[in-house]
Amino acid sequence: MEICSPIQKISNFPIKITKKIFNEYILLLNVKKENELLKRRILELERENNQLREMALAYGRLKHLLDFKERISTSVMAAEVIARDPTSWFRSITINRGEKDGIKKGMAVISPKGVVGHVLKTSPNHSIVLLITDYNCAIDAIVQRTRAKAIVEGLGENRCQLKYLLRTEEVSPGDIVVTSGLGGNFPKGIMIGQIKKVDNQGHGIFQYAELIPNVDIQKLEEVLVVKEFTSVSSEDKVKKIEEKAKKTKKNKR
Amino acid sequence: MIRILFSGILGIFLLAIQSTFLTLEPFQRVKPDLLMILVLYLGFFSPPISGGISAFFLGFLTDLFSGNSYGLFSLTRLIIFYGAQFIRNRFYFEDQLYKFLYAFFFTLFEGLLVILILNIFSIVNMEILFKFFLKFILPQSFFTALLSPLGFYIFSRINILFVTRRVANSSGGFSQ
Repeated sequence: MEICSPIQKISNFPIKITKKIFNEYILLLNVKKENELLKRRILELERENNQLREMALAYGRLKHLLDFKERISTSVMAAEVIARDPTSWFRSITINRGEKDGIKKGMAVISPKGVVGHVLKTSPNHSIVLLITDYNCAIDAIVQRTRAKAIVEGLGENRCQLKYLLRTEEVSPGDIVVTSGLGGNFPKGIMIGQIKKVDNQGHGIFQYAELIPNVDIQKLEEVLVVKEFTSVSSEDKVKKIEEKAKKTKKNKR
Repeated sequence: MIRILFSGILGIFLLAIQSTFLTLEPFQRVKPDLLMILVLYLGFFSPPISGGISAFFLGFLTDLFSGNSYGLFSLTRLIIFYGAQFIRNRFYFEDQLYKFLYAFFFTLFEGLLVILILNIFSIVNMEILFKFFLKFILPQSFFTALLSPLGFYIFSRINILFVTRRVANSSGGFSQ
């Protein structure tokens, strides 16, 4: 045993070496290939994951849009934002709906968060929407808390101003401004934005207020074009409120 | 005709980049005006009539896709084109710095022209327009100018590749 063992040991040495070389070098060639394959697979899965995440986000947005569409009593059409104004002077977006879909100049464009703007130009398949932040855009509005009437005008950036607001009207930062429905294009009560600061230092009969639009114009991806809307009479409004109250009572029970 | 058609196609391509890719958040305030670079290039290297028609078309394209009334940029781009035509023989054009200055001052000049026209034809407050000019148009002019040497180089390569050879072939001689 004592004699054989060292010989065995020596003869085992090349086997060990061969095994080692085989395991750590020749098999590694496959590992390298496998590693590359796995890396590629990870990249594919990451891309797939990103796509699914993007789809989930789009689903959430579209569901929100659909819920809003069902909630309001107007005929609206969903459209996708495909481009923005090529110049720095104006604030507009291009949407993928046009005359063929029944879009007409002047129609209101909204989103679940509030007013976006109105249709300025139309072509058979696309339209240009002038955003509320453009200084050529003016919308008739009322301050929700005090019912003070004013005109909302764009200030170019992501800001608007409240013009022709009587000095006698009491408004303060944080007040919500909604559409008055008087222009004929926008349904009444759609959120426009929140007052940021009030300027009543001048001497005229009007005061001015700066407004932050509720819609984040930069992040707009889908919008709703109001094709037609019926102004709801006060009796109908009362009925709707009563129905809602009954429903909530039933749900509580 | 080839020149007009070609600048039209190039203009549509540049407009697509300008209204999609360059409106993303990082470029927003510094968005260079690619169509302006093309108009300036045409002003320097094109004949007055075909170049003028191309400049008008490029302005009209901008009008079509922006939130203003038709005619504003059709007019300003035409004025810029003939302005560039007017100074092209009085101007040393080989230096990159001169290209930069040339694009910078013409973009600023267009900005002032737009303010003037908007002030004449609409009720927009001049104070807002001047704030806008300082906040957006000044940086935009700078970045348009910064990009203009590269733009001129690319347009001249494209011009040699697609337009000059075809014009030369169809007329049987060389034409610039």
